[in-house]
Amino acid sequence: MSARSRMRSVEFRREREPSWVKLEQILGSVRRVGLGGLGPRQLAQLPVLHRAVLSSLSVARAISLDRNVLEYLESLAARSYFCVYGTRRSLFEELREFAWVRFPRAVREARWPLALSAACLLLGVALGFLLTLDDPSRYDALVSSDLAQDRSPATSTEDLRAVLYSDDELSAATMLAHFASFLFTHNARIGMLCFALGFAAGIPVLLLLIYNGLTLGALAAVYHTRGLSLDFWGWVMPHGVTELGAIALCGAAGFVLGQAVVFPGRRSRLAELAHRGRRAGLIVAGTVAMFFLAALIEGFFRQLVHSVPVRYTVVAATGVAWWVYFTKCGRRAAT
Amino acid sequence: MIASAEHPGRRREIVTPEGVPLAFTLASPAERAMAFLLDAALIIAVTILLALLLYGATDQDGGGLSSAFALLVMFFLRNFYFTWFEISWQGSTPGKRVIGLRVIDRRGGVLSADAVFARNLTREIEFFMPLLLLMFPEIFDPDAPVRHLFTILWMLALAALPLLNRDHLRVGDLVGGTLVVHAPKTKLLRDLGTAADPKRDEPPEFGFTPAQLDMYGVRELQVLEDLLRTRRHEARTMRDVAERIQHKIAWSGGKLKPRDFLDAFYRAQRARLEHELLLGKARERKREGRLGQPDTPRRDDRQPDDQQPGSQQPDDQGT
Repeated sequence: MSARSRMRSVEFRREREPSWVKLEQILGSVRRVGLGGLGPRQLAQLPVLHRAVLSSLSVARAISLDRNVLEYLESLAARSYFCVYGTRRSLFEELREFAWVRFPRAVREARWPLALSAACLLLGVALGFLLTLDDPSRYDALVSSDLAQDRSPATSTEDLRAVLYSDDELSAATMLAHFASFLFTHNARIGMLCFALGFAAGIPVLLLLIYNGLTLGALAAVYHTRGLSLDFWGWVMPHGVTELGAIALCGAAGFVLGQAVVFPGRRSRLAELAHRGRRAGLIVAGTVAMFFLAALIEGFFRQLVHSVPVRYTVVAATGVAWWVYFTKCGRRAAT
Repeated sequence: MIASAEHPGRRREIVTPEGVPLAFTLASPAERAMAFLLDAALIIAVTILLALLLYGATDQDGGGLSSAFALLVMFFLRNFYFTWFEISWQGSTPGKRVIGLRVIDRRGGVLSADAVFARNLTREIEFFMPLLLLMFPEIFDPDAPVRHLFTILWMLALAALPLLNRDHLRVGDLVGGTLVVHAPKTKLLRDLGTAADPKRDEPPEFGFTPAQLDMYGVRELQVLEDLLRTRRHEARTMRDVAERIQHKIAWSGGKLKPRDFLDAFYRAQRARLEHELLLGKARERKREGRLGQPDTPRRDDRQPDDQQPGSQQPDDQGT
């Protein structure tokens, strides 16, 4: 053996190469069958081999001038980094923890933005109500025609009533179609839009919330003038508790983002946005489920149950359930 | 020590939780757009397939049930396709996998599901709404041209954000704290420090003197490595390079096959430089002039970066 064939970097490579090859095999099977498809032995080896390759990389940077080896180790380390530090839990586990711990906690953390967004919504309702009461001709400006379902200040009391207790023999299919097309997907999209618009300093969120409130208020005013207030709220609120709650939450998420953009605090704007964006995104993901529930109530319960006391019972029940859920759930779980 | 030749401006370093810095190459906006288009094509294809399948089963109920089902599926595909894949495929989607891209945490930590959720919620305003606006401008307020113009500008600004910042972040990346990078894949090649022929245990040596080896630096060594690893060897290039090196180090060992000479010179040079690296004095560049002559700065000296290994031009410019 001559001196030069015992170059340190050559020896180093000869010694470490088997562990690199083994890691590469594991990464290959992760690519094919996913992390869940690995056997227990491979799974246990992965972090060990990951650390080994990182140490190899550090050593190689110090002693080797073989560019191919350096680039190879960089890429191998990067690929195993993706596996070890990529998302690591299954969607199911993720969802369970999300529902019982992280969502309610994120909502509690955002209570002030939530108060602001609920206030905007209520302000919109009050404004819409008063404006329409004052001058019924404003109704058309406040309520878009597809939401009005042929209801306007000119509609007869009987027809207005009929919408609240529609007796049409609706087939399950029609109900489901209505549910899917409008009640759920439409509302959930508005909610997500609310979040995304928060990026623009939160101002579009403010407008969207108030506008949604205006519509509801104007509709309520029309019913109020006919003495149908009790029936109207009994028609809106069974799903409204959940739906308006979800809208308010999306608005809150939008405000959280807006706050990060305008007042980043001690951190840089980018870091703050990333930090808060994740929390706010969590809230919006939760509201998708809330919109789903609201649409179920609206699409089925409301069509099937016409008794006013039962409707109000549902209002109270959903209100209490959400209150308990958001104030109590996930308090004890460790962070 | 690595002088990465490709996209030096697009390298971003993160520090892993183990404390080792890893460098990644940012994905370019064009690559990301390609990956996105592939994903979008997949979503559309699935939707159409579903619609066609359901079309056959619509007659009994007037299409209500199946269209409702299709709408729900479309909603979930459109909003959760990316989230689902990025969570279960460690930060990649089918489109990203084909192009070779990955989502990582911008600060090097674990890519959390929260980040994935957040970065995909904004696609609605970044892509779907601008697209809708371009295709059907009339649904966005036909009566108010000023507001309309404002909406268009605002949406275009959002959609163009990746082109406007250094890290090519889109709104979702800002909000989720993520970065999209290349998933690198480099093959481990034969160690040039060992003999090319495994049966010959010992590579031939020609006894270079330290003074001869000190004429060159790390950059030239790696250029030489590239040349030796090139598949298609240009015999003339090999000969040119070998002659230039022999000239520069005042070689007196007689005539050799260029390939043998370069292999041996590479090994000796690497051993010498690695030894010096351990002592903390690695030399980056070659020395000017010829061995035995004083250093004379040359005005027309090309930068080593311009040199393309394996091309028709000789790599080394010894005098």
